[in-house]
Amino acid sequence: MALPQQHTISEDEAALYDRQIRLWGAEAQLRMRNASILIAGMRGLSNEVCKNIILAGVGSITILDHENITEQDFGSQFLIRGAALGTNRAAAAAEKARLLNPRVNVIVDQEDIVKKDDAFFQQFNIVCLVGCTIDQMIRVDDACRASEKRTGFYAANVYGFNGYIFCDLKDHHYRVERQEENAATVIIQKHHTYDSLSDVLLARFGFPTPRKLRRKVSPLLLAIQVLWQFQQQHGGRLPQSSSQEDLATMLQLRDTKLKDAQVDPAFVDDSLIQVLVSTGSAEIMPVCAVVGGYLAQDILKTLSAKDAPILNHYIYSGMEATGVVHHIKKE
Amino acid sequence: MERNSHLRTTIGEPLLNTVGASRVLMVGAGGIGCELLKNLVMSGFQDIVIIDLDTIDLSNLNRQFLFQKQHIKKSKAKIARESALEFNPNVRIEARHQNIKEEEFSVEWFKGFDLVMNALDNLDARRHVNKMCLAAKVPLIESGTAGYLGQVTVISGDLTECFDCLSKETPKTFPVCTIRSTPSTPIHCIVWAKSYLFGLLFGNAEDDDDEVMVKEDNADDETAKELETLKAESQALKTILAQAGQEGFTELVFNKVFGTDIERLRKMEDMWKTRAAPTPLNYNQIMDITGHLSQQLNVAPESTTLKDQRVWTLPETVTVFGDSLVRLTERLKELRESDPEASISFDKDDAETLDFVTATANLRAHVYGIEEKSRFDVKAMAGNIIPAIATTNAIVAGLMVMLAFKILNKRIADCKTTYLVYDSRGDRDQLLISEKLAKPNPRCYICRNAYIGLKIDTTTSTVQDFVDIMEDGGMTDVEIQENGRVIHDPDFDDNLGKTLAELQLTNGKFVDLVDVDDRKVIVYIIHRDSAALDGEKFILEGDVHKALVQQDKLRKTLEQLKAADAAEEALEAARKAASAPAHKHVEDSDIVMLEEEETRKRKRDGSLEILENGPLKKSSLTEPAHPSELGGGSQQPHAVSNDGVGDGTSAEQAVDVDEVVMVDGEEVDVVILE
Repeated sequence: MALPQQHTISEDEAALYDRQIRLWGAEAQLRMRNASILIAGMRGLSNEVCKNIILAGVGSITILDHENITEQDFGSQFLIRGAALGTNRAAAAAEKARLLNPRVNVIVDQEDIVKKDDAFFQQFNIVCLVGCTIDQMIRVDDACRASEKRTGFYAANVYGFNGYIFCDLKDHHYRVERQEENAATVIIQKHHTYDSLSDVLLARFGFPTPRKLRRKVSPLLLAIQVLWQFQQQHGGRLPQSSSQEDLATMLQLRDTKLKDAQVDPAFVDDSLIQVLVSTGSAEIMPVCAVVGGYLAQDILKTLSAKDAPILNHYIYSGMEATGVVHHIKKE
Repeated sequence: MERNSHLRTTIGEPLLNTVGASRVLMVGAGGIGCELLKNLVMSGFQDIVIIDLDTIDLSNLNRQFLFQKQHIKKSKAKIARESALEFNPNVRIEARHQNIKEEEFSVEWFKGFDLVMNALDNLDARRHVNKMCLAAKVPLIESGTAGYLGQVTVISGDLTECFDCLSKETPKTFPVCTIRSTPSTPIHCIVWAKSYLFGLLFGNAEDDDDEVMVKEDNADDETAKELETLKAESQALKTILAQAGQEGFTELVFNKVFGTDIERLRKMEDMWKTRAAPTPLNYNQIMDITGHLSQQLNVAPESTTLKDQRVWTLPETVTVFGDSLVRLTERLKELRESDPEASISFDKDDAETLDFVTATANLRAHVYGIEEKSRFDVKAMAGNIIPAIATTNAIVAGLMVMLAFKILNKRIADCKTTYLVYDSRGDRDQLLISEKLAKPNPRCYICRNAYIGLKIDTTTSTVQDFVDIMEDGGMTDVEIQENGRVIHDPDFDDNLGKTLAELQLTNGKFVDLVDVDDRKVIVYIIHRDSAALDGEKFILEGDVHKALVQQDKLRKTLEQLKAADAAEEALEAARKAASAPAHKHVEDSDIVMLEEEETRKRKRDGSLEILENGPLKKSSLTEPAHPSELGGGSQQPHAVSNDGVGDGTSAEQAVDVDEVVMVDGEEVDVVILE
């Protein structure tokens, strides 16, 4: 992440952001203030992320969505109002988003993401895709990796009670402050290398015991990857919750996926696939709040170049109330 | 496809209906509250009551997203309601700009809810809601955040630990001599400035005895003598106050507190054998050196750091001291023209009071060779500010609704306590840690007790009537107390003829009863006019006899615990005797630290866990799971804490624990009313 170092925090900003500057410091705040972020795909989860990073005081946020608001969208997108039914999602959300923090520049883009060329994504400090297809995710991730601006890439979504965050920062430098015994603060410079999404999907685990495997990857993440494959083969649509045929396809895809990934087929059991099929199309507010909270926090961490961002998956399970980080490498 | 289709797909039609039919209370509309209210109105809840006594402040706006600049100074509860209705106009929200501790929010009122959710920032209100929910038998979801850290849990009657089952950290206190004579850290200087000098100059004469400074009970002669001298010094300063407003007043105060008083202390050689002696300051000397002081202050600092985050130079500090002293003195004079009893109290958001405390604390630090602090840091330390961000609150509020779903689905046993941990170094794999709800602490007076409602006409019924009711229920030789006040006992029957109302045993009051067999019952009074009692003299909501049987059981358990403790202590003593005494020549301050460590240990051991139908067992994780113990790394609040601002009674404070010497007598394991 290369960010321009300009301006200083004003006294007004210091008063407004007092409680967070006390947490992450004025330098981190300044870095956020100079950052531009793209959120592509306006859904409940994106509403949460927008709210959180606008409140934090980033420089600008571009919200991209070409679709119009349906009745269903009101169930999880709190930034839109009843009167906006049938209008563009991004435009409707932007109106309320601006009120959250007038200091942040909120830009609306109503074009379809597929029409955007690589250069579009490369102008941002962070690009975050919500609910996009795996093909788009891979394409945009590759574009970000090729960016001179070293654009950081995030992709995320929620499925019923579950959700994931994927993060690729190519190579990311950050600092960690540590309090020594004598109360002195020591700053440590650290560095992480990230694999691309296309490489991560090729990860092979070499048939370890379930216990060893569980430390490397959760069944839920593999099941979500199966879901991406299903979408890829079905023109982007998710399985229908009551469709036996879709469930059967998903189970088949799981078997193939696990075989390729060198994982025991019992690792991702049928019931998990069933849950994803029956609730995969739903996004509910509390799950958006949890995943959106982590996603926004991680974007802010990356921007501030302070403390370690997610490397490279975060998996939230609402039923188990767990949030686990998995580092999946191509190997 | 309508609004709730996502919810229906995920939680199912029956639960969606239950959620829609439920009535929930949200206590607090601040950092967590704003997020929670949004989640509730978006998650199928139709009937919500929110209560918050606070108004909106500028420093809230970085996270309390239901509020905007134009709402500053307005009621949080009311604006939160307005904003949330925009997300979903089909929800009924009742907003109360009130204190939850008010009498009208009685146990009966709490009984009107299926679920209570705490989004509070202070211990006192949390304790209160905890007790009300236990008495009303309503499940409570408790939450707290501090910076990146957070926690959510469920409190429900006999199933779980309650908020009072484990003792919480008490507000930090300091030995009076440390503050008045021998400060060694910045916080000592800040406490002196804020709680001692500020109160003396701008407070009322009678309330100069401050709670944060604790006098040692077993003070030796030397200490007692020193305390006498200090008292005389305070008196001397008060006589100087008579000259407020006159020329040279600032110089007089300055030279008294940073000059004469320090010179006197310096002469006490014994005091400075093990520490550096203080160096007095002289107002005119600093003025001579620096010349045009007020102009220097306006010079922009060389670095790009904010004015507030830079430590002032000595001349700057002296100028701010003089300036704020004059302004505050004038303000007080004006106030006293209309009210002779008027006083000014320290408020971190009142720039003049903060200036005064910052300058005064730093001058004292200078005198003692202690590190000086920026105004930004002093604000946090003197005002107990806890850093707060939107994301942590959002995550915690999301987890609360997940718990609410489980509770309303009658799956309370599946609920877990969840902790948000922070990973700065990237070496953790769990960011959310969940564990089983802890069992109640059998020693907890608050939750291991029967709560029984008594509907009675308090204006006509007497204490005698009350005693009769309870003795008919099976209690003998009953003792009655209300909030520590003795109403009646077998040796004190003066009140028997008085009505309950005459003794302020009115609607909503909790009354503690104990009988000759040490069986305890808590009765809460529900006032009903005689006419509304259906011809009865009273109505008991609960079975006294059953409560007494439970109490007998509990006492047996406690006896076992006591025996186990005694055995443990004996073992500990034997272990200690076997190992050689390690500290022979420690300094005083070290002893205090050791005692503190001891207290902590005992506090930890004090909580025991009973395995169902099994032997008593010491719990290895009695403080509600310290994730830092599970994986090392970041610091974690072990008590549910605050969002944003502490009120002095909060569990978490911005000061570094290591810097604080606590007086160990202030800490109690479990409060049991005897």
